[in-house]
Formats: sequence, structure tokens, C-alpha cells
Amino acid sequence: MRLAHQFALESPNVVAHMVDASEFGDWATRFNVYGVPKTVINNTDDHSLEGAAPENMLLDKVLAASGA
Amino acid sequence: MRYTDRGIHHRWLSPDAVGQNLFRALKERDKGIAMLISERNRTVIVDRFKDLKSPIVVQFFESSLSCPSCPEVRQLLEELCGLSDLLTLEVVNIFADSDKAEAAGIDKAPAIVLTNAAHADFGIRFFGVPGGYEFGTLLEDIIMVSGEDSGLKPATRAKLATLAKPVEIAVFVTPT
Repeated sequence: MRLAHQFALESPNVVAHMVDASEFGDWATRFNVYGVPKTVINNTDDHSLEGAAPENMLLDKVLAASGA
Repeated sequence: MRYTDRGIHHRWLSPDAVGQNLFRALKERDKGIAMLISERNRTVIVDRFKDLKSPIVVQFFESSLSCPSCPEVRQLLEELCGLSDLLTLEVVNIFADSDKAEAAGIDKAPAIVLTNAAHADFGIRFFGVPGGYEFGTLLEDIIMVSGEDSGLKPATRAKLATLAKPVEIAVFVTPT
């Protein structure tokens, strides 16, 4: 989880939410969260990640989602 | 096990866990005995907070409706912010103070936003209870924001600097 917040601090273009899936069940259901952690980027499953992601992998997903 | 102990396993969603913790915490609080952060953890946190470099404002967005965990999270943050002179807690009711909530882009509670003393928003948000492993994340984040250094690898920083469009990352977790 912390990695996403590190990205947010580093870039003014990144906002990162920790979402407690048990408290926000509707939010989790919308993105098919069956196991945690699951990372969803730009509110679509297109660039999502399941499990803990290393720095390079999250970076690749973020760049892909932004079209870079 | 105390609420803030870091015992951590990624597991299948357990909707009951938070509720049970809440129930226990509120029951103990009603008896006037419970601190959510144990004495032992307080000592550890005070020691970690020696690394704080600049003041941090912890904004807590709460709601008096449909937010059973709000009182617990608020108490947790009150206890936490009491552990360093560099931490200030600001409580915003998302309905009564809707202007402030909208300005921060918060429409759900409980939510936590970490800012610096000038209220600069770095896009760091917690929705729900920052319990278990995520309590550790909150502590690390506070120290990180206070130092204004992400700690990322130079190559990652360089790539992130090229981002031209906004990116929203949501990490779904279960605080256990």
C-alpha cells in the first residue's frame, strides 16, 4: 500500500487511495476485488494488479494508464 | 491483540473483522478504560516520531450518518496526534463542512488526508479504518510527508516526472 502513497508524494499528478474493502464493499465490488491487496488504476480494471507489487511493476502500470 | 499491532497476512475479505474490533473498542471505551493504541505501541511510535522533520496536518473526514467506524478512527487519530507536537488533527464533517470536504474531493467517511502545515495536498488518502498493517502504513506515510521525500528509486522519480495526465490509484486492502 505504501508504495502508491510514495508515488503520490513524488508526483503532483498521482492521487493514491487506501481503501478498506470491508468498509467500502460497494467500491470493492465495482472492481471485482475478491482478494487483497488489489490495485486499481484510473477506475478501470484495465491496468489492475493483484497482490503486492514491486516498484517497477506499479510504475509500468501507472505509465501505461497515463498513456505514456 | 491490540488494534494497532502489525500482524499481517493478506487474506480473503473478512467483513466481520472490522465490525468485531469496533464493537470491542466501543464497549471498552464506554467503560472508560480503553486506549486504542497500547502503552507499548505508544512508546514505539513516540520513538519513530523523532524522525519527523516538519509539521503535518492530519485531516479526518467524518460523518454522523452511516459511519459506524468514525468514532473509533477519530479516537485513534486523536491518540496518535497526541504523540507529537508536530502533528495536528483537523476534523471535518463531510455534511456540516461540505465546502471543505468538496475542496479536498472527499465524499465518503471515514477518510484521512495527510497534508503539510500549509495544507498542501499530496494526494495521500485513507478510506476506512487504518488498522492492522495499514496503521503501520499511516505511521510511515506521516514520517514520509514530514520529510517531503518519497524514498523512491531515482529511475522511478525520473519516469514519474514525465507523467502528463492525472492518475488515480486505489489499493484495496483489509485491515486485519
